[in-house]
Amino acid sequence: MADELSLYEAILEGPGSSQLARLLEGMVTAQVASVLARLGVPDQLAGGPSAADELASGVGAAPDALYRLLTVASAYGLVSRDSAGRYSLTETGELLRSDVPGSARALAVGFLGPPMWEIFGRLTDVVRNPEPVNPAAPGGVYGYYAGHPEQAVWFARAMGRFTAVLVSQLAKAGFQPLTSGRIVDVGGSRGTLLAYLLQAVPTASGVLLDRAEALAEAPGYLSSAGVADRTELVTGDFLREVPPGDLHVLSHVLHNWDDEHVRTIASHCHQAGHPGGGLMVIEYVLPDDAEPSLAHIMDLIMMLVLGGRERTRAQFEALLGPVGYTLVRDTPLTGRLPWRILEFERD
Amino acid sequence: MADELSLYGTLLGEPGGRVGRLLEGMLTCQVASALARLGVPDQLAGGPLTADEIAPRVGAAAGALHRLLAAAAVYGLVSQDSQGRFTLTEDGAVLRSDVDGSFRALAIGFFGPPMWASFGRIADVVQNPEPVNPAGPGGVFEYYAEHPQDAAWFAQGMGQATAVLVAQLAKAGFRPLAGGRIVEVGGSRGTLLSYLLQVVPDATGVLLDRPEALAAAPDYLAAAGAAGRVELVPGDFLRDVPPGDLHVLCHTLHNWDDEHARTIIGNCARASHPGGGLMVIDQLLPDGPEPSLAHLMDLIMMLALGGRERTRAQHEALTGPAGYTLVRDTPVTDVLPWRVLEFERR
Repeated sequence: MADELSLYEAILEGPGSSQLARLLEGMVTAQVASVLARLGVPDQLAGGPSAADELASGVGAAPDALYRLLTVASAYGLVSRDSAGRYSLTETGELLRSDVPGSARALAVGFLGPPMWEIFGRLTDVVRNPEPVNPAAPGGVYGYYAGHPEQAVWFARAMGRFTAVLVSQLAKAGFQPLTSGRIVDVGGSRGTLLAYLLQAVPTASGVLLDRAEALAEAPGYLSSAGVADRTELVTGDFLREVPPGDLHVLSHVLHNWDDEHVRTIASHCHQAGHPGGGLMVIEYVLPDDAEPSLAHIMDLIMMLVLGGRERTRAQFEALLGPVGYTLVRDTPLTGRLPWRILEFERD
Repeated sequence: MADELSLYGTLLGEPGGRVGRLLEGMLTCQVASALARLGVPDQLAGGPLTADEIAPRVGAAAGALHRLLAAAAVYGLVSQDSQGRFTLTEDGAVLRSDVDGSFRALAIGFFGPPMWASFGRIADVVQNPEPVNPAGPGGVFEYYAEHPQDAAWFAQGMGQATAVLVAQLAKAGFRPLAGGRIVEVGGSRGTLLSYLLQVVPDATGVLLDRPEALAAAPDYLAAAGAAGRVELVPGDFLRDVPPGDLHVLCHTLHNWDDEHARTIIGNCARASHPGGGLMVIDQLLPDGPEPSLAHLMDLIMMLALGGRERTRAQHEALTGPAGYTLVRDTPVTDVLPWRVLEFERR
């Protein structure tokens, strides 16, 4: 954000200080962008320039406070103001609209709104105190989302954004699974990944296993992807049981859990598999060496939000080997995020 | 922050990367602030250490600390060698306590729990015009009263910001129009008052603040060689202000809404005399719409304290009815858009 204003960079002078100031300023930049999206200001501005007073009544905000927020948003390059006092979206601000290609609104609202902001504020406490994070406990994410379905929808959409990028990377790489037949996506949500796999393997059939609320958008999504007739929806809890199949898929699932739960989930897949059957794990795999990776950022998010973790390939093999799975292929997806596809064969 | 250092920036790709980097701030700020709060950079001052070695010295869990440090490496604050030992980068070294221009106090004080919670409430504040009450339940004052360690970090961060202001005043050779008995209203440890007494050798000083805010003043004033000329007055400027020839309000009015600002200015006017002075130092909002760093400070004031930054005309509208006329406007804007407004009492 070189061409944007930074308050703390101005205060902090000296060698090495500019990067640090911008890292810290993030508290302000993140909230300004997220709240603009949450209030729906960019959607209001989609029709053309508007004054703060008009916007305030459109989004249900106090005019003076909204004016002050918009002025800061202009300092960060999200909106611009003309001489008549009307605000317009910049090219960057456009991305916070709901209905543009590549919209960042769901991410801005789902990953930064409550309860995420409060959870990230606890970073120091979590590092000091090794008590395991329990997402289902009071103040945890699951409890929060159960009580705030609207925020839960934003979060699910933000997650879908990640999966959509993953699937576009798979498509670009022309990825084809080693095993097929009956493909069970364990914790597959609305089925973004399963739809890709069924498209890539026209003879395969699919099973989508998840909690009832996570499957809500699946029927619509699967039929628009043209694979509804090959997919069975199964409501359930993969910590208890997994439906039988030839290939079990765990995409962005294992990183939500500590080692003990990972063994439980993998064992349920094993019980529901057969000799020669497959297990596909897709995660941001931590590098073996000391190189900084975005997987380390995701690891910190997992630590704070869910008490889970990212893992190296060796750590995955150490967890899944004793369950009865042998690694047969490791496909790194190049570009963007450090995803790897680990394909295992059942003994 | 380049693309490859930002998870959300990378995810969104182009053209969304810039939005992603703004949003990533939630993570970057916490990582930098937590490192400073834990005192990790001070431990690394002596050379590379592993997370296992650092953890017991800073009271952290080794596994979680390693994960924090690995994330800090992505953001360029530390680097990791092949033995898993971490070293401070040039950026990370600024978070040490004992370096010139240390940012540790600001990283802890300005981004600690009460500020983080204040920022988490932007949507509520914008949607609900109820005034923020910093002294109310959950407000910053209540938090600092209950957490003296955090209050000390915050005060140290503020003192650092004032020190930057004073350095700018010195560089500009600024001298006040009025002298005599100078009363700094809400003057904390006396950073600014010491400067004013240095440039006006025949002046005397009065430092008014809450007792806890004056705690560091005797030592600071003694070190500045001003102790013999300063009287410390514990008190509440919303009730009463000691008499003097020049009243100084530096980074004070912006903490308050207009009603409280009028009360404070009125208290100064009553403690003054015709020809007496009032000096207001704040970041001034520009008259035009161009974005200014003062707008960022204005948002912080709105959220944390229910206060605001003001234009020069807004300051004049507050001080005029109390009997003050603007006689000089001195911009000190090399670092932040500070202005020194000097008024004379009619």
